[in-house]
Amino acid sequence: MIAPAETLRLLDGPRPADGPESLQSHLARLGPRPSHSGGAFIDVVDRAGLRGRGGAGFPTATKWAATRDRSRGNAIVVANGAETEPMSAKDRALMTTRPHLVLDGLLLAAEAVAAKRAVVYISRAHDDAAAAVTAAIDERRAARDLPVPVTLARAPHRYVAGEESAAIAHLNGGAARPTMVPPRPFERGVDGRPTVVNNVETLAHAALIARHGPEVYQRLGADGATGTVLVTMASAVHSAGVHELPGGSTVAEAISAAGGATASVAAVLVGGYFGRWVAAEDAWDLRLGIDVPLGAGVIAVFPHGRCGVTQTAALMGFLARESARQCGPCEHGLAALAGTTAELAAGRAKPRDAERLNRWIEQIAGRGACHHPDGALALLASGLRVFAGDVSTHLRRGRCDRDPSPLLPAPDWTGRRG
Amino acid sequence: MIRLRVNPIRCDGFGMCAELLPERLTLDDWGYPIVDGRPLSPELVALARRAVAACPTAALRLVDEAEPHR
Amino acid sequence: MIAASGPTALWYTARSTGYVSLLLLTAILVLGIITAMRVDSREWPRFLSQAVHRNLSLLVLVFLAIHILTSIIDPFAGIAALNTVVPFTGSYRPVWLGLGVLSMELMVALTVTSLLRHRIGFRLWRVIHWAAYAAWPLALVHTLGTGSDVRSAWAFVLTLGCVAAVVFALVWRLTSDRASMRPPVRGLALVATAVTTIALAGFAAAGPLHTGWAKSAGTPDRLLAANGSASPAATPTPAPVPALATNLRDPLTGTVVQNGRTVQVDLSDTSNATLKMAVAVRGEATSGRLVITEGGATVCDTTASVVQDVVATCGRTSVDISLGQQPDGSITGQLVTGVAAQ
Repeated sequence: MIAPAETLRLLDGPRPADGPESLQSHLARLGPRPSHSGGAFIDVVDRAGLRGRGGAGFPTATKWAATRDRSRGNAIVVANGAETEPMSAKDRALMTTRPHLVLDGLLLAAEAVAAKRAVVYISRAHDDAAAAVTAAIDERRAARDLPVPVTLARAPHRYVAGEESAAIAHLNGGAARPTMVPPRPFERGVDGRPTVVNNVETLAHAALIARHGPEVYQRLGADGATGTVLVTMASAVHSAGVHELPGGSTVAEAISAAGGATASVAAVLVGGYFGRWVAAEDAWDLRLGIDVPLGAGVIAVFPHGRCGVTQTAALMGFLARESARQCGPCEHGLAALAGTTAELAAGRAKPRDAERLNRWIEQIAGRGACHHPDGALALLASGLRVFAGDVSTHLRRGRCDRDPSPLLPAPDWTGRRG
Repeated sequence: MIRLRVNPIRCDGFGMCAELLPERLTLDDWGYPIVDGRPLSPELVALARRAVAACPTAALRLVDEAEPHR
Repeated sequence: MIAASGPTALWYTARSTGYVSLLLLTAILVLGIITAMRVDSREWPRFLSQAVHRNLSLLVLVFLAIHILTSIIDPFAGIAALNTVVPFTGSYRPVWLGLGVLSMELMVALTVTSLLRHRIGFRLWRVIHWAAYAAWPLALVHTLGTGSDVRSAWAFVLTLGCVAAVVFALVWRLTSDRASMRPPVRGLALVATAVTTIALAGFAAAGPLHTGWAKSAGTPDRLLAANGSASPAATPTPAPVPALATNLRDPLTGTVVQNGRTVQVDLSDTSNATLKMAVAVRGEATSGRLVITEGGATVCDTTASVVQDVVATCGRTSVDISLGQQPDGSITGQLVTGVAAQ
């Protein structure tokens, strides 16, 4: 059966300006949510090759199978819509325009892992998403389509609050900070029960896979990648914002989908602040999710006129401030890196400072309880490589000729409760 | 194989571990331990136990694992 | 209960091991603070502070055990085994002894939980370990309250040294740069330290360092006269033979001699030259020892109140000696005896 074109993709259907898609429209477009016995749907998702869209890219079927194995009917599924990556907007876009796709995916996951409870985890800063999801849950309750109770949990808007173990810690009543990871969530998570945490986009994809089957889903992707991906295109593009692309699309295709660059491109930041800088000439043919990790799906286009050193320093400051400050190497290490990078940007650094940066990058790697410091190190190391010319200008002459004002946001969230 | 592992959240940078077993533990620029995850020989295991007992926050421990975690 | 004649070797052992325990406990607390502050030098690595802290914690229990056992075995103060585990019981300075019992029990808890640290988990261990900051002041107040040596110079210097060491270490920790304590907690702790130190000093000055503390601290009366008397081996006997006459009203003359801290008044009955009295009072105590001899035989040897007149009961006879000092320093007085109230 050929599926109507209006139903294949996440953003197919009513226009975003029409607001959240109602349950009625959702059912009219896609039909009822298919039900499966036991964990049969896990197999379907496995064949579809669905991978997590929260940043880690972990195979979804594997996560679900591990949780199902340990569930004694008491598992918990969490839809992670916390979206604390500063430039990312895709999760909000999904929740405010296609909440029923997310809820479908959540209920399918609950059935697959034998869960009795589901939670949607949304940032305290995103009231519109919370409102849309709440309304959608109410619609379902009225339509008697809520086989497990679905509640909302609001996360503090700090960068690490969206991390899987941080979400679980918050749901357990503690601070939204990452924890030591043995035990893994599928062993012991919320309330000590087997828990699966999936990004809302992952769940939305699952909802479509359930309708159209794994083969159709695979064909939506390119070059061995499956399905579609949501990306947030940012900075020097004509049409910044959320776009849906075939999986395996290249960076060039992504920029093209966003209306092309507004200026000559120096570098691209792929994967948001947890990703890495790539020089423009190396970036064009990189396939998202294949040659370069997609991460949170943020692609920022950085033009030649701006100073990448100052920008990287600003981002390092943000990442240092957003450390959960539980582990010495992250708390002190990122602060030291941010400080020295700022000195470099301001033109006050010496060559031995650059050596120190490299030594610290080596020292800090892999020594936090979570991967936050590793993400920051990757950002810094790639920035020092990609903007090497500007780095040596800053070291020799103090400043470069480019515009130092930061293009990518580096907010200060330290006033917010974490 | 017996290896040393540190819980970085519990670790508070006292640094006694590195004083007691410099063969496997060195301190970074901020006083936090960098653990050499290689297996411990029997002589080192006894010394490693002393280091584990000395950790004021019980962040250091001995594990029996085929592969180093990181 | 065996009536003891005076301080014995056991009693001295109890006192000395008490002071050693206080010294050790001070060192343990200071080393604990030094460990937490991560202090080290080329010659003194950090694990050493912690290792010595742990070793001394075991050593202090040995000295405490001796301190407690000798207090129980020695009959002088009449401390029963129960009094050393149930605080505030017993007849010998119950409040001040009880504080020592509390301190000891805290120390045992601290040591046991530390030995079992890997079993009880770090968080529980740490919460209990904060009690160390209570164990030390309890021990200190116990020392001040029960210590028989409090007013002697060496004990004063030792106690002052211990307090100084702890206060210094605390203030150092609370004013150092390490960010592990948030400012409000730090400020509160500094204030608490200052207040406690001042309170301790005030308490010491107003109480133990004052004469008369022994009695108000709850030392049983029979012990008060036993210190510093001329013949420590003599035992106060309840019913002397022969009995002292009950209707005397005799003038007395005598001399006063100062023997170290003890004032000794020797009196003669001018109506009966064979009747002699000796009153020994230690420092400014409110009671002293009265010995009455007739023809060389002791007819009375007892504790007397010396608040105004010398008042005592000798068997069935009540004794009241009033005294006055002449301009040339000699003593005159009057002896009045009667039938003692039953």
